Amino acid sequence: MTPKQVSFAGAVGLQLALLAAAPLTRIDALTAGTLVTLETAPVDPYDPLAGYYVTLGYAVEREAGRALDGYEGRLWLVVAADTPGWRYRRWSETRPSVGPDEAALPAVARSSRVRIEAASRLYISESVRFEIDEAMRAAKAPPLVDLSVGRLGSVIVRRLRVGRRVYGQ
Amino acid sequence: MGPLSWSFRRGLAQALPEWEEEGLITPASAARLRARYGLGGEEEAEQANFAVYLLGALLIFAGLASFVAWNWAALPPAVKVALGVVAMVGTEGLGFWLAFIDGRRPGLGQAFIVLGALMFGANLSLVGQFLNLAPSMWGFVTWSIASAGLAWAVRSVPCAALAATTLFIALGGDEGFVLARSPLFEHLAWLLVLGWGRWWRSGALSVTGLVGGAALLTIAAGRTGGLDLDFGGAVQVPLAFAVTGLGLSLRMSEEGQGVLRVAWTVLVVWAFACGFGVVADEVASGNRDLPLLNFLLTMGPPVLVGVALGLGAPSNQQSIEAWVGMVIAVLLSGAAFTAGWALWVVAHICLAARVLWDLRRSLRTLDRRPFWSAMVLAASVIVARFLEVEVGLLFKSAAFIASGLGVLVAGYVFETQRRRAIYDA
Repeated sequence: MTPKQVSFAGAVGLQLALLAAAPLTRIDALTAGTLVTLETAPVDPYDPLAGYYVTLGYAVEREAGRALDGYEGRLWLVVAADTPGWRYRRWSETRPSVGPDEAALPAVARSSRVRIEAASRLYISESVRFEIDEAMRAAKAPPLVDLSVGRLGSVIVRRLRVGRRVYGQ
Repeated sequence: MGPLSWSFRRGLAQALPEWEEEGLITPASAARLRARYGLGGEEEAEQANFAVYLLGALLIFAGLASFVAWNWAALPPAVKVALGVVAMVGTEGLGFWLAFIDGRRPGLGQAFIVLGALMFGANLSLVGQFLNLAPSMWGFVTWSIASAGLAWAVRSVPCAALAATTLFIALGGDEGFVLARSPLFEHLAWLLVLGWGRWWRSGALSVTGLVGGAALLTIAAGRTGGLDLDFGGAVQVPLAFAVTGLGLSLRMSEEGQGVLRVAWTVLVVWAFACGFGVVADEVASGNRDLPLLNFLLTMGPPVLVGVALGLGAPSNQQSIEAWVGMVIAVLLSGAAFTAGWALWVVAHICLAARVLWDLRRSLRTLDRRPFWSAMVLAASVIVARFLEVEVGLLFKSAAFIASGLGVLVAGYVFETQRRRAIYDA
């Protein structure tokens, strides 16, 4: 192979490695994560590169925000299994150890508002974006979001459940 | 093969005969230099084509981005990502083969490599979509690193520009530096790219900068419901457009007579602005409320153009073009008193007439400049309409990809015919 062919192959290999990096850093959540269900109230905007999505905010974020006492920066939210959605238990600056029915979610606190990392969006097909709006208006209970939480703390949004309808993976 | 700098190669082509005459170089050295930098043969034609092929690649990328955004639900996410990766590697591999192994179509090959760099961004969005991740500064940094790798590997200036642009976007986002969040930041970045391309790699990078600048201003002007149109706004859009690449490319094409060139440029600028539904409605409704004042402020220039063309047309060597321009100026002015949709239709007739006239002249004279002007104008109108109008993403994707392929094919066919006519005669 010529030097240029080697350089080109290296550049393409770099692209493939960079594309694989994002899923690999979340491999624990993808393959064997704990399923955590949270109550939410989504809004429907548009990302020109990736398409339509719903912005997700969670009841546990609001509860944690009230308990912050002015803290800003990275933190962990501890939630405990409950029905229909997991409940806020406590927050911690460092990664806490959790019980068998608990999970720790990485989050960021800014201006007394807490946001769970990598859990703010669910991308949806163009065809269902109006359907989701209607479903949320007609729903009697808050929509629920299923998250996969890996042992290393990575989070992936799996699906949005509005009544009996399910959106996502 | 030499670098893609047209100004360097044009200067060298002019200087070589003088150097030979003065005895600075031997004829053999001159011949080697001509061969080394591809002066006056097939290679020069192919390098010049690169700008048009790049435009086609950008349109195809816009189509792919719309396709990703459509988020087709029929395939599993992993299959979508796999298809995207295969398409990206295939496109880049084909480009590398065309440019560096087969070697007969280096411009087309380089354009495919740039398309591959753009497809990396689409694939990154696909992965983000699969993992439901919001865009972040690091996503654009990743895109910048991948583009820089390709730019270094194949010495691609547009890939380097893409690396710089994505880095600018990363720096200017919510997680970036505070000073970079001004709305002018993107415009400054594009002006830098444009200046760099004009000074160093004028051809390919200039087109990249011109199309990008026009797209930015088109997005700003065509945003539905967001255009606050007063007199300043009515003038701002066409004036902004006039300083973008489309205005410059129109001035590049040889109109023959100075007045005719300026007149058609003004008409096209006004027609482009009135091609936006919001602008056309505002101009027409303004004429109902304050007819004389609004008419003078918004349609004054086309009226003056019509008068100038009417006075100059009989003696003008390009008389048919002048008469057509005058008729269109009259139609534009008249439509401004009717309804927004009428003004919109006449505006598009004007733009279509300009494109067809330039294409006709380019085929007749085998001059590249009107061909490029026509391609840039047509692509700008298509992009503006699809950014302005709310249509299904799948339809938008198909239209962009078809437009991009159309530009690639048209450029290829034109250059092939031109090469045959010039070099085989």
